[in-house]
Amino acid sequence: MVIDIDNVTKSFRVGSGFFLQGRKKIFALDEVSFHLRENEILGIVGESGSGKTTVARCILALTGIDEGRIEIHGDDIQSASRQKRRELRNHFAIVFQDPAANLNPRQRVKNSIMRPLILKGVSQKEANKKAVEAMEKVKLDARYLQSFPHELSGGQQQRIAIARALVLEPDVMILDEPTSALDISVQAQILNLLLDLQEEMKMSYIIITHDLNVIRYVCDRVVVMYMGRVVEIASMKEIDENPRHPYTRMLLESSPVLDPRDRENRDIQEIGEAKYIYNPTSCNLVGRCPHESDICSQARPPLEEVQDDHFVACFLQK
Amino acid sequence: MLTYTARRLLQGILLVIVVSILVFSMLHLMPGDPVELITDRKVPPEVKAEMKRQYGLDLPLHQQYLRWVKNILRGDFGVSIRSKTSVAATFKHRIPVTLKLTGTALLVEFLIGVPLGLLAAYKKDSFFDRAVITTSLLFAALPSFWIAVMLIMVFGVHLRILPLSGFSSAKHYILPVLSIALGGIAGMLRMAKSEVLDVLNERFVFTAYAKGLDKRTVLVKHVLYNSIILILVMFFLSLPWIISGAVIIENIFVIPGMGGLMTQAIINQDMFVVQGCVLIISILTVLSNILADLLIAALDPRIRVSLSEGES
Amino acid sequence: MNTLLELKDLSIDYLVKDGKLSAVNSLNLSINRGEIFALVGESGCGKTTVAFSIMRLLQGNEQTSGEILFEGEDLLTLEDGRIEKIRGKHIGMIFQNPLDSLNPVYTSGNQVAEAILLDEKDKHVVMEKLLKLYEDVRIPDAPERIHSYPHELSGGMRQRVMIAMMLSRNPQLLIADEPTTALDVTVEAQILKLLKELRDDYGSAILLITHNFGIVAELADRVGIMYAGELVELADVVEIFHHPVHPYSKALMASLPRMTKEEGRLATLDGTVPRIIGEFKGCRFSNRCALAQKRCFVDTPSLLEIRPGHFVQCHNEEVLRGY
Repeated sequence: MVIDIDNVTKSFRVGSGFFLQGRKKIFALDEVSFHLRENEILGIVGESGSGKTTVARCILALTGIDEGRIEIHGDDIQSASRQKRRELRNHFAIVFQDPAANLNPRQRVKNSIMRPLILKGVSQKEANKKAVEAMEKVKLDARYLQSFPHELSGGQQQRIAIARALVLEPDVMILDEPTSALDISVQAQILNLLLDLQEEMKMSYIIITHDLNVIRYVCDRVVVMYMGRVVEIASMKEIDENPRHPYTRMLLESSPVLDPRDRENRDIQEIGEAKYIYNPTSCNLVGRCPHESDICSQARPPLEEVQDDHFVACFLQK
Repeated sequence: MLTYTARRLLQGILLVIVVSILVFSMLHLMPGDPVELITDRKVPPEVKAEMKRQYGLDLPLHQQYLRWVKNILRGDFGVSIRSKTSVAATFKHRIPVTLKLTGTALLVEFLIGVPLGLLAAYKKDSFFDRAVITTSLLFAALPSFWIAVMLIMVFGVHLRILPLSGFSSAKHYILPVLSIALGGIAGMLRMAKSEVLDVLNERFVFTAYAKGLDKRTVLVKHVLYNSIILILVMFFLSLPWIISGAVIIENIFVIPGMGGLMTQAIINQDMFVVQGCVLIISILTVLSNILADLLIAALDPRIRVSLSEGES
Repeated sequence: MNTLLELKDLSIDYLVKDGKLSAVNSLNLSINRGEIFALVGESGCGKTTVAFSIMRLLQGNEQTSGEILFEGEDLLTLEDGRIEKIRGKHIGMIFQNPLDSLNPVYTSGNQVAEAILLDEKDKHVVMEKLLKLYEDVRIPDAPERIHSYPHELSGGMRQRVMIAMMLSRNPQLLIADEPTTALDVTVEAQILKLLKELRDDYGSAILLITHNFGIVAELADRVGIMYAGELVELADVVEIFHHPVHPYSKALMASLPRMTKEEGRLATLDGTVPRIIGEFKGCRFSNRCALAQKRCFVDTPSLLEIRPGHFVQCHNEEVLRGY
């Protein structure tokens, strides 16, 4: 196990308030548990408010947590010392959604890629060599090292972000909506690149996205999140063939099919939108779930293993 | 909205109290014995001791403060060390004069600058736009005293149609107000123009057109209305300036206003006058900031919601 | 006549520093009454420019030639007064990001009513219509929601408000520019379903501008694929997805993630979209086309009908035949 996230809770207070009681508490993460294995591509799928981005930040200890443990190769990163934390972070590299936001617009590509190495004490010459290697890996011409980000296309910028992530030789890459801002032909290129790199360098990936089609293409296992809670964890195959949680099914139903002949088969319910109210003693899907029953609003469903390596948080699984 | 207003006013009062403490402390924070600051060197020590008693400088600080505040609230700002006249009386004479001068100048800047700015935005990159921007920048770059002197020469000396100095009739206002306003128009203009340009690029303007609204309605109901909010706020935030206003202009045109008074008082170390001026300016600044905040909360619903204690 | 909107040789150039940037080149297509037509392409292909030019909402630093015939009238030559009468009443438009598209200082009800008031003066009737519209677009608690400001509504609700606003005057054509880009998947699905139903109820045609093939597969009757300002293929939606002919269309379809990694890799396309300034002869896709011949670099291909209703712009005879 590379990363073990155990019962993590993270809340925020939002809204302004001169007096603190004016602020509402929202649970970005609500007793979240899952883990990342060696050499696997894990997808975290959810819509806005699901907590998927917060999870990434907590893994890297960029944000603190209220409760729970996050272990990287057995070491707790949240309660580690500054020094230890920095060490643990060396295992990771992160790529964000907006290609332009990944890179410093004032620096040449070369510097963006080399900087993390230089900060670690690598010599200029060595860093240069590694930068050129990284560019090769992402199949970009080395001459782009001299360019500024705005001179390049979205796809090229994203490749550079990946190149920079690679120079650190991470064993885990966290990709937050890596292709959402890209055209589909470019998306295909980036996804293929990511797959090739993962095989070659034996890394693990955490891919955070709302696009189920992307998840289906690249992921081995999937974690489905809804309003801060994990509702289902299973292999990609299981999720596709045997989705158990009503929300997972909703997501699958809602996902755009890529075949016009299938459009009549879709069953879209008028399920409204998520209500961001914290229910400690109820399932979050109450009010939107087509299979609701009494117990659903009386207690919070625990995440349980219903089949081999397939976990669901729903009372209606029996 | 009501709670926000109450809260803001409370904050304002707190701020004014803090400011008053600071202003009051001015006298005591200066190096040396306060008595020395308010008397001539030649004054014999017994008289000094007497003055000390008179001014209550022998009392503990907090009592002095309270005494000072009580006096202020009664309208007694003390006596000018230089002229031995009541500070409050001086203010009564000078404040209206300055207000008339700078207040009018601000209004002129606003009433000319804003419409010109709106038009310039509407006719972006046209000859009008460029001409207006350049001219106003020119005036902003020229020092106001130079403009004043030029105006005096042209209108006062050569053409002889406007008076050179003094402040007794309406005609007397024209040149001094112009000297200030001409330079200030540029600021208002640029601000209005940039605000309108920002709004013009907003998607909701396209939506308004897409609905089928005619140009005039879109420009007034959507563009103008949204731009006005910030422009009005800017107006309110410029208010404090009108008291400290136009020292140089007052000087050139021999206008007995607050600017001249303050400068002289500072040079002469006329403590009580300075204290009074600073206090008034501070209170006015706090007030106009509060008004600006309340105005923006009243006009922009987004601010209102984030301020309410409840949540939708 | 069944043709509602016809674009004839529409060309739009942006005037930039180094000359004329070609955004749209000799576009020819027509949209029928009540149909959902998707104009698809990747960023920079010109589809949004086409949409804005139909509504005459382009900024003014461009040069347009050709005709945009709406019910026979050329929209490009109409005076302002006339185009204002057409906007909203006959052609409506909904935009991408509903938060920016609504004026933050007016309530949602006020903004929708603004549209209704253009046709109806009686306050009671307006209110009735307003409530009914909110119900039609399935906004719950309509009487209260009318008084909400845009920022108090969720993304999905705002888009419903936009749809209500634009449908209120019952236009014959609704242009939807990336209507669900900023929305969550489950919300998107509901909005798409809504659009389909409204099309059935109100009878409006929809011109869908998007780069998202998912929603094209969901909604469209016919599809036009644009590349570098030109229409390279036009056909019925099933044809486009299952029998794309143009090399670009084929490449696009092959890059849609419709499988798992075990089943293979997605096909990819090398190169980038050309930026065309000034004169250009030849096929705009030639620098990226695996089947490019000498002719493709010098002769501009034209749109040919290879089967009834299926148009392709390509020189290569094998391509055209290899259906």
